Amino acid sequence: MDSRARAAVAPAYLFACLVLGGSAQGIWQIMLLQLAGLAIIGWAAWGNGDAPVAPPARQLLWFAALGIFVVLLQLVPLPPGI
Amino acid sequence: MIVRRLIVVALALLLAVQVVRNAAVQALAPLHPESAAKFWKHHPAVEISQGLADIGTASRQRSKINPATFAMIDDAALKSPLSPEPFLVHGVQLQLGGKAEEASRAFLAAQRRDPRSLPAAYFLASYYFRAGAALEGLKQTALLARLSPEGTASVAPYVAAYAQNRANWPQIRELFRTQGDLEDSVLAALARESANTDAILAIADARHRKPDSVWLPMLLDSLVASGDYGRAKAIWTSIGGGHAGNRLIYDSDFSSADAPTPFNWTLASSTVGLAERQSGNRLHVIFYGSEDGALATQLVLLPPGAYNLKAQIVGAPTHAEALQWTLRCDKARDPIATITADQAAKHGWNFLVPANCPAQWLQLSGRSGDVTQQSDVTFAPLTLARGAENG
Repeated sequence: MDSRARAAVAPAYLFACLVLGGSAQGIWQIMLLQLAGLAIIGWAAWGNGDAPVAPPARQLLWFAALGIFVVLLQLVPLPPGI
Repeated sequence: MIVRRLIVVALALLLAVQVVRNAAVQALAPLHPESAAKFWKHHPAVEISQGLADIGTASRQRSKINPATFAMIDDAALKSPLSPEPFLVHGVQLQLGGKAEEASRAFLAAQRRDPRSLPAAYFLASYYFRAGAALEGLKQTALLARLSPEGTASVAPYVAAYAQNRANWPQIRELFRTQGDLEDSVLAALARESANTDAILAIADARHRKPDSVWLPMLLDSLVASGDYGRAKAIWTSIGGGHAGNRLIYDSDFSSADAPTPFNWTLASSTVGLAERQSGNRLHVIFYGSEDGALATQLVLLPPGAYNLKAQIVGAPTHAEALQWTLRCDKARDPIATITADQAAKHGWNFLVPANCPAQWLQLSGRSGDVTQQSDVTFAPLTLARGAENG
């Protein structure tokens, strides 16, 4: 894929999230966004993963990992007293 | 590489199926829980909807609720701890078991999860009123009103009834600090009865004590209807901003539209005609001539005695004879004095206010003739003075 089109995928998806997401009423729009997100992740994982990750991208990955860790932490059930 | 791609495809397909199932359940569960259950039987949204439907059916049939229903809702609460419904169900269970305070905690938990939950606000309002916590109950009632369609208008009469009791005024004032919309509706509901004047003046805050406040003309009308003209005029002056000074007619020079009626002019804009203030202290009146009716009306409080009104016409009037000035005691059918506008302009208008007539309606109206003729008349400032004059 053309590198310019590749670079446009994430901003285009973010724009779609802003336009279609944000409302609990829009069930089908959210479904479309989730499916599109899955497709983007699958497409990213499909390609050659041997290419070196640039330092800024590596930092972003660490932030994303931290975010996922916080979400996982919140799923740990705590005693009601805490 | 191939293995990795196979894993990616398999995971993506699996997740996509879950995404579609989840969306179908979210869309169907609120109204068709059975259909939603076909997609994902143990999804918390399905369990909650199914459970609430079962409880509703059992309540309608006045039969005992199946314990499995409560177990299903408890299961949903574990899977979806942010859903308010299981807490509502638990609260109602506790309430029915006579544990009102524990029930209120469950309702508060439901409200924390969904601050727009109507049932939570309803149950909490009910609990607080029963517990004697009037202010908290009123806050929940106001929330209930805000969340319901046309809710503020529906709740206002009940809050107004509560506000009639002098002992409740501090709580009502406290409530109004955060509920401006409700204050408008409650004051308007109170203003329908002149007996509520003290309550209105006690609870209306500065933001709702202005000449354009919704309740003000309603209260003035109520006071006039009950014959309490002096109090109506005092409130009109203090809150409505009307200051007639030593003049007997307010805005006799047609320059001030700010103060409310009835002690200011009510000007017509209808099928009868049009009356409007014009620059240069003029009242411009167009009477269409096809239908009788009032064009300019004001309530005045003239002490008994003789009076003279000068109502000069300026410019080139057409059919001024179709317009007439009348003075009628409030609540009386017939006028105590009448004169056509052209005669009043030429000779002045002498009239006598009798002793049993504390308030009078001064009115300029149009009278249609056999042939429809439009009148177009402009009046100079009026001058009303005590004592008759020779025309």
